[in-house]
Amino acid sequence: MRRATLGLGSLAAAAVACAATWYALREPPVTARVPAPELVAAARGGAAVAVAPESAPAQREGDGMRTLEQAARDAEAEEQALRDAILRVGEQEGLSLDARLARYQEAVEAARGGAPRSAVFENPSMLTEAFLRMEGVQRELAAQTPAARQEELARIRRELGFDEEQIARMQELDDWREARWQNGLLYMQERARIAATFEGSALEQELAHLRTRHFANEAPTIEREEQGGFFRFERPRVYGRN
Amino acid sequence: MRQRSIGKSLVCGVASSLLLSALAGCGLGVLLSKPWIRNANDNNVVFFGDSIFALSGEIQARLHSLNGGRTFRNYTTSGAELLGGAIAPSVEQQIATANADNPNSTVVVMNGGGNDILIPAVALDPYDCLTQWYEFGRLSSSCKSFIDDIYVDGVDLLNGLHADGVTQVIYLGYYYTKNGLLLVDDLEEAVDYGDVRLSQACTNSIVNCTFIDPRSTIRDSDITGDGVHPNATGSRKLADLIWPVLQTKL
Repeated sequence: MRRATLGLGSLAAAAVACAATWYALREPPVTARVPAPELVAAARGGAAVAVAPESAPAQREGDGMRTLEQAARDAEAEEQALRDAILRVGEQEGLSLDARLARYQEAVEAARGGAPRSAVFENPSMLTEAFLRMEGVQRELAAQTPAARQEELARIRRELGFDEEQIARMQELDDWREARWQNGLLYMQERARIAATFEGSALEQELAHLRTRHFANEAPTIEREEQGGFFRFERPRVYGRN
Repeated sequence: MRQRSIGKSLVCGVASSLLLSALAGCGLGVLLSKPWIRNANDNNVVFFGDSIFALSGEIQARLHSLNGGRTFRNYTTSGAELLGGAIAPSVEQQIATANADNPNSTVVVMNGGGNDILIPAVALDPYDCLTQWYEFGRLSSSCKSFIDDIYVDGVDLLNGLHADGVTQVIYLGYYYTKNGLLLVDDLEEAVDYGDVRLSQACTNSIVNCTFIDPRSTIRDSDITGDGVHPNATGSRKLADLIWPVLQTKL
């Protein structure tokens, strides 16, 4: 029975997929998928003016049909404009975190409305991480006290779709990561001092002691990473993410 | 094959939204996962991970069959990210739930990290993880940094499993996706770098971990029309990669 239900469900999903594919291919997506003018303007770094006609594809004389290739290129350009508009929010100078978040949400909303793959925009963790990784956002978070930063991260997550239980869980993760970073940065300082003081087998021995002191049973992981040339505490710090 | 721009938006609409719902959760994620097995015939083995396992359940079904019909515990969920996912239970949350159910399993079969890369790449590609044909072989530094963070999450998660009493981990890597309902053919360099980092997570962790690299095994014909998930032959091939390793740990 369950197998039959699943089979029917799969058939239904396939039918929806086929219908949607057919629909996407048959409908000239000119009017439905024109991006908001302000986003196109923002993507081009210019003023908000209506630019849709300029980006419209060449139409064949008589039937007005566009080739599929041109449609694809237009859609690609449109998606790129939406994407650029979102990502540019992170580069704008002089914005407060509040203003940056508001602009980001506006840009995401516009993209959500225009993008065919809008389900992706319902993913709070993806949206939040993309926002948190913006340079302007990290600059401001780094300048805050730990308590203020914690509040700010909770607010960002709330605004971008996390519920209170998830926010609390993420905060625990933030606290755990913060402790790891503080320990790791201290380790790197001591490591630099030891590296400047010892050499050869004495250096290896001192480093082994240092790693054990800081990372206990996880010391072999840190050692193997270093042997591979990866120093995890030299990564860019991304508050709320790593 | 690498002409992403030309074909990118030809196939989209509701169909891809449906699929992305499966990938990203979006409420449908739980529905589009095979039911968890919280109490199995062989409770010593437990599965964690994402929709590669959870969507069809065929990998587990094959492994159960190879195990003489005896089932393993299974918490894999479509849309799962490694840590902190807001919609589907992340791999970390799956582990916590499994430990609450029964903390005595010592063998873990898992994957993870794929959604962390795939979902943003499909949506905005904010970390520039898609590589166009003219970028062949060159993955952006922003994508590498992003994946490096996933590596650290991965190795810390594996070390956490060791602390929980797990003695053996089998970590299934990712194969090359193809263009389907999702246009993800341009993730090859990200998949390569991701698999290198996930295999390093395995070897650098303190748990006894075996990494299974499926890249040379899974072909485009082994992937469903969505471009991401294994079809029946793909699932069988993946199960047949896992089984020889798993068998030695039973």
